[in-house]
Amino acid sequence: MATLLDNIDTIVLVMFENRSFDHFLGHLSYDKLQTQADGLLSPLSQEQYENLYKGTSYKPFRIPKDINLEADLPHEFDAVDTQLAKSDVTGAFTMSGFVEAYAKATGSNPNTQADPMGFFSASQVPISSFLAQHFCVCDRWFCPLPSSTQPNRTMAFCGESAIHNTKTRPIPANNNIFDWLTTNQVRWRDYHDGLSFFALYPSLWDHMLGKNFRDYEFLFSDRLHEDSDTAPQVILVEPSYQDAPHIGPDHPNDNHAPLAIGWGEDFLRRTYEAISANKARWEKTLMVVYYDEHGGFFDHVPPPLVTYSTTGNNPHHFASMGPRVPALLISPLVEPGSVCHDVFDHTSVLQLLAEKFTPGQPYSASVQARSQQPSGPKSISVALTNTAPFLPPHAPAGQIAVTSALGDSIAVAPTPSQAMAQSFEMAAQNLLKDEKPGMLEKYPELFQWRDAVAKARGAS
Amino acid sequence: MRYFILLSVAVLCQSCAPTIRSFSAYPQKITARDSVRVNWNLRGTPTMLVSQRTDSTDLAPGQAAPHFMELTLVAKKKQKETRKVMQIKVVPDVSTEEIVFKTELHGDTLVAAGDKNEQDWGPIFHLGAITETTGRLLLVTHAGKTATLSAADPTSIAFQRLPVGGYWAFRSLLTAPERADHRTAPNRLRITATILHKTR
Repeated sequence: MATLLDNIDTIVLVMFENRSFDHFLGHLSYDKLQTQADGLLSPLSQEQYENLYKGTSYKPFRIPKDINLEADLPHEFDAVDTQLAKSDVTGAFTMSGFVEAYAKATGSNPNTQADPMGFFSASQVPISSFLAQHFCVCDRWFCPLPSSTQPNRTMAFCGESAIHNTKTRPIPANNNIFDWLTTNQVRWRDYHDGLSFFALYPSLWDHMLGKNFRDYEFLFSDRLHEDSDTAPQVILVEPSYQDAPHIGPDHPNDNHAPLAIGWGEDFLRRTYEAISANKARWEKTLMVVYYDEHGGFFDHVPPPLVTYSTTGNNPHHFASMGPRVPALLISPLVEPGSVCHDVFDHTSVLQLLAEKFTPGQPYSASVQARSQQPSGPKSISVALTNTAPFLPPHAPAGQIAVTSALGDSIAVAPTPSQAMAQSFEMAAQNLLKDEKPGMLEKYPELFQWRDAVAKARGAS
Repeated sequence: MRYFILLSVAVLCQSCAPTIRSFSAYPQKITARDSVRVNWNLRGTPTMLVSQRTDSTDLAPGQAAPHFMELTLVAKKKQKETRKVMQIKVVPDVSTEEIVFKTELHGDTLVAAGDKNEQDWGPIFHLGAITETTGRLLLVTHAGKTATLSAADPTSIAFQRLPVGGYWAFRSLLTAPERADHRTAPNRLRITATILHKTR
């Protein structure tokens, strides 16, 4: 039976880092820009938003200015357990421990307006808010695991995970998306703005240094001019990661706290403009914008009780998904200005790929088993319901500026989080040590970074 | 409005990235005529930004906007900045605050207990009356004293002039429907405390 998925030629995946739904898109309902979205509502003092710490009640507040935060927020699996705050009495997640986890991590008394409770206004996230209002916002998209970056990204791109936390180590990539696409003869490409996240997976280095990984700066022209018979059917777009090595004018734009989000918004605008540049291609494109995990920011919706055990020798058992993350479906095949309330997580994307490219065959047994749990995630194809495609609206064109506390334009990234930065550095050093073919062409900045680091460390 | 900010101990060290090793302010709630003691220890060139802010988000009709003095300590070195923000809440001589803890089940009794942050209200405020607003029968213990609040008698002055900070415990029997289904029981218990400046 023909479905609207048949009208899709290209699926584009754009994953950012570490923001929750209420923090990023909660303003949609609060400011009545998209009243169907389950974001924040007045009064903010209602109990479902209330966080508790040492007898004091904390409520969400409007962030006054986009600025680098003081520090990253806690989001490792033990911190997420505190954040979900399962009630001893009712057995339900109360979502009331975000401030408590923050206080534990910082060792200081939280401000009345504690960082985890802040939410952005539309003017601070102009591109995300614009896309949410013109396309489809998913208000039941959870990160797969109540844990941190590495396990959630591994679930996103493998459908399974051998790890349950983020550490300095190489990560296994069984059943990864690149092998799956290659095996199923799907043309794919990864556009990376800086060092790819997949550097953390040694088994993917051959892919990473191959022809399917291209610099982000080629995305626009490729979308505009490339022949249909060579154009990729699946595109991954990677921002510049805060935790990765940086050199020269390169600036992180992955939205990982403590980073201000202006650069990420600009990256999203450039990506949307590139993806929609060719109108004929646009008509057959679905772009998915999502976040790997919540990053320690408050969200009020308890995650579904979808269980998962990691595949390692000493499995870790998760009893639920993680908190909600912002997610947008951008396509002329979604209802303009709509909200999808179906439960999704990152493996919903893998379900979609299987539906599209291997109909009748699941992406993997793990993804299928997950989807078959009572509250399990659906495929995002359920949101493709619009039979009257429309031209891409123009994104807001204003300058997105980020300044420092003293009002200066920021040229230097804030200090990255330790485990992820060390993982990136280890991956970069190993890649450089092996000097695999293609390294210099793909990542010339890494050689500059190596020399700069060696010089700086030699001098200290 | 006058604030007297006592600034002390700024340690400078000319190496590496700017670092704020510590930054503290005490107390964190004051009236317009009180002082705050601010201490810090950092590496880099310090700048203190002091601003007054009101949070007008989500105000009910007639409700006064919460008022903050915001202290932003910035350490700068070689074009790099780091910062920490401390919010001092400025309250009137008489104000109210909810004291709230999550519940646990001890037999057929809900217990919500814990330490109320002593840093919050510091030494310049004390308790006035306490009130339970839902009509639930609540046994309240604090600073060695106990009071019972109920629908008929929801307010008590048993804790007058005691400090706000310190250990609190609220106890309440499960109702019959709650005993039948714990999911209907509250996952937190709260009181509203009137808090007075000590000069009152």
